[in-house]
Amino acid sequence: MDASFERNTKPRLDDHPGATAASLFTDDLILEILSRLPARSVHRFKCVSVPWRDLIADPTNRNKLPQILAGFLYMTVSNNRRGHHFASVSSDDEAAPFDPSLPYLHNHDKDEGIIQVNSSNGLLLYRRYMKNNEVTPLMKEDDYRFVVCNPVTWRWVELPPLPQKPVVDRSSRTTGLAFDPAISSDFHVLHFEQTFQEKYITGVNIYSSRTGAWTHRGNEMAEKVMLFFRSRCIFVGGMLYLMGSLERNHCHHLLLGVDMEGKVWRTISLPYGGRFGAIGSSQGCLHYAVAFFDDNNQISGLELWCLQDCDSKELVLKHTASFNKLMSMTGKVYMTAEIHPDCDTIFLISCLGDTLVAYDMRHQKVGYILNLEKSNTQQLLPYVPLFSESLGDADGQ
Amino acid sequence: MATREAGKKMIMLKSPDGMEFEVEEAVAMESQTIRKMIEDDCADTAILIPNINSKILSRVIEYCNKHVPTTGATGAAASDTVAPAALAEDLKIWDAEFIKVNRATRFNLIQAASYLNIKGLLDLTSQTTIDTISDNSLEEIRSFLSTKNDYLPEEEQTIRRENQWAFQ
Repeated sequence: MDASFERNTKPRLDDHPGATAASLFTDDLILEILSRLPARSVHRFKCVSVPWRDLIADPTNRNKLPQILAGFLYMTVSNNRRGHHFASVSSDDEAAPFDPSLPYLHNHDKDEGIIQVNSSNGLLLYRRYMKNNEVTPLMKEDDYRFVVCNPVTWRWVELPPLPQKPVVDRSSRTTGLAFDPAISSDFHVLHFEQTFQEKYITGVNIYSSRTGAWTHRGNEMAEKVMLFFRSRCIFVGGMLYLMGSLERNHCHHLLLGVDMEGKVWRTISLPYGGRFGAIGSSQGCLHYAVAFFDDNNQISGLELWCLQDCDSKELVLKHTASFNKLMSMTGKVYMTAEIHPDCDTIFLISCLGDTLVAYDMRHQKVGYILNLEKSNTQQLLPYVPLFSESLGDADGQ
Repeated sequence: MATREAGKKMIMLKSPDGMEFEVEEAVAMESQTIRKMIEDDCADTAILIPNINSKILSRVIEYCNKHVPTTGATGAAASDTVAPAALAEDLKIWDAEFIKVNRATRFNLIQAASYLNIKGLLDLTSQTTIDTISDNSLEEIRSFLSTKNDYLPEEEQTIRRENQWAFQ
């Protein structure tokens, strides 16, 4: 008989004949219920009572409860050196929950470092470059392997090489990671093909952690879609979404959604076709934040759109905010960058890449302002920790 | 050990208020806790289920009876004539009826499902609770779960400020 069985055999009902059922809830039972709630509800429930706060905040319960945005991972490049950084959004923990350079992922004898590619519900995807002096610089760019890791558990797995492509027909650089522990402990990596000759998506290579292998799927869409350079890849509702435009009309911006089998491909037109916005997963739906600019190239307004479910054919407008105040306050030019995973807050990055501003679309209020490293900030990856042990079928290293 | 029809092993479950329930072993083994006891050979005589009264225990057995996979001629459900999808749909409707109980009973069922480790029942009972509480105000939650607000006023202000985003 195991320990939990022993502990639970205490005859609680008999101890408190007059107590209501709810007061007989054990911590385990409360956690059982909380583990099924969205992160936002769980954090709101910290305010219910002191024991609830302590239960939710207890680090030993982290693997049972949904976690919230800890911050953003980003890279800087200066003098050909890559730096890995973390910008924390937590009010009580400034430090990164792990060393963002992930030293255990590279071996200086064998490889030339890692480049961040994507994040998905606590897992991170990197490209790890090989050290190989015998190849030309062009070939070197393709001389990498994908690595998926959970930075807080130190578990990681290197994916097998992509099915070979001739160098002249080099595939695109757009790769997405798809993982949702609420659906499955398996993850997928989707690597899109877009060739030099044909500047639209011709197919996708899909890695499944369950099979441990890549499979190739052709693109069966009637429309020819070009992906934006370094489009964000967002996994939500079983589909991976990217941004791109129609090959025949570059001003027609759209969302491309692909399922994990590569069988379902669908496009959704983005509002204000020619403007650049940001996509993100928030509250279980895909969101799209787009900005308006005035004559001085400053943001004058913002809109937040939402794809309410996987079958919707179009985005629905959720919030509109006019935006003069923030701009006059900081005097900087901003771009929409990210969307908070649990609420209608969006993040804007200054054009110089040195500050990140949180803006609450619902209440039209500027939140915190974070300072980033000042050297050529590359894409930001939102990071929500995942404390459970599993990493697909990875054997963990 | 009690036995009924040929080849069907029966298990005796006892509630603390003295009621005895004879159930098929397969039904009892829907509970991982009981399964473990059977596998460890601790189930030769009647199994006393502490802290689950006979009213709740009979509901739990009812649930397990319905959810035990039907193999061969159990006579419970004609699974060979019904498509799996239809069977699942039938179970869903049955579950929805089953969970139409008052709050105290539902909490007792959550406790029982947790103690007996019956995942399906735990999912069903706690999901129903979640559907009720996820969007409620703190006051509603406190009264719903009979929990007291024991924050000092200034403490409550701080914790509310820190989690302001979750109240949007």
